[in-house]
Amino acid sequence: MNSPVVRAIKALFFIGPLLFGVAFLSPLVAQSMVALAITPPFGLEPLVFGLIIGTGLGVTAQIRGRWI
Amino acid sequence: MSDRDLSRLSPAELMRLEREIARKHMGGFPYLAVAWAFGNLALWLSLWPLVISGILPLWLGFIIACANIALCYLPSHEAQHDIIARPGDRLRWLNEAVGHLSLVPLVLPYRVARLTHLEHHKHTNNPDLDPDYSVTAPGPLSAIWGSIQNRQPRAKGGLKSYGATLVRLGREDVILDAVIYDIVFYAILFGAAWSGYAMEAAFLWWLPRHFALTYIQYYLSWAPHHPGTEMGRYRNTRSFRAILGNIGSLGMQYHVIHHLHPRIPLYRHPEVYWEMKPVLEARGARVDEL
Repeated sequence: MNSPVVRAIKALFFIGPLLFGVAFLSPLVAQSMVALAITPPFGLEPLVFGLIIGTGLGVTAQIRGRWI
Repeated sequence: MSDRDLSRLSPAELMRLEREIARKHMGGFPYLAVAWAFGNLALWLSLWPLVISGILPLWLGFIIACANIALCYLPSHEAQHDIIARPGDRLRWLNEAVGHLSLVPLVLPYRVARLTHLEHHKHTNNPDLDPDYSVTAPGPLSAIWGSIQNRQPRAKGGLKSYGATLVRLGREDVILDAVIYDIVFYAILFGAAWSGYAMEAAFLWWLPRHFALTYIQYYLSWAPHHPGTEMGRYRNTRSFRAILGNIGSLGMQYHVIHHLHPRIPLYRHPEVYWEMKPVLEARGARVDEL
């Protein structure tokens, strides 16, 4: 149960919150802003703003071990 | 049948009576469970093209998806107890198909659900052996909050405690099912999100699934076993009056019947309960709320 594949999967799950923040929350924030016609601050593109928020939330959840 | 008559009966006679009533309600083909399984899955799948093509608004799709995913566990639950067809029966494949397919929106592998659920029946309310014991909570709000907390990254309870049960059963192979389901689920979410469908993925699957897991754990795990302190056959489960009624509570008001006779189909529980209630009272079952 400790093959390279298993280790890779364990590593993937270990960074799950960070991955989720970047890969799901970022585009979700960006697309929600566009749908709601909300302009990102500082002239940022929606996706850049989404990446900042999504990555921030992911890093926080990764460190805290919880989203809420 | 009156309470007075039953008070004179011995435990063996009460058991015979209980089994006679239960036997009357077993068997037959549960059309409802099969239609429910495939109809519910088809409806949930149809939400995707309907919402993406703009025919159905996302908010309405979200509400329907919440209902779909909250409803998807019960047909599989019937299959877990071989209610649709037993091993060796001609329609066994249908039992297994319902078991597997109806759980897809919940991202819960059938083999994981089945093995852990049967352990829940064997060890109901045992803090060390009941895989669902982590939902125990002093009240409704703490049960809901506990369900949400059990899904946090470093939590150990809820669905996350199922792995320990599978290891104890020597079924580590089934953990692979859960790993594959999780990887595929998140790959679909991420793929949809980066293809421009993040909101659809969030409101048709990710959020409704969280809603459904909370709802299911509240009504199927917490409410019927609350306070989760007793382990006897007639004491580990109860009947209760749900604010949302029997349908709103996913048929759980009469869950005591299910624990006593798991092969009785869900839709027959109310009828069995009222017929069996005097026997259950004579047995000291927790049936005073309904």
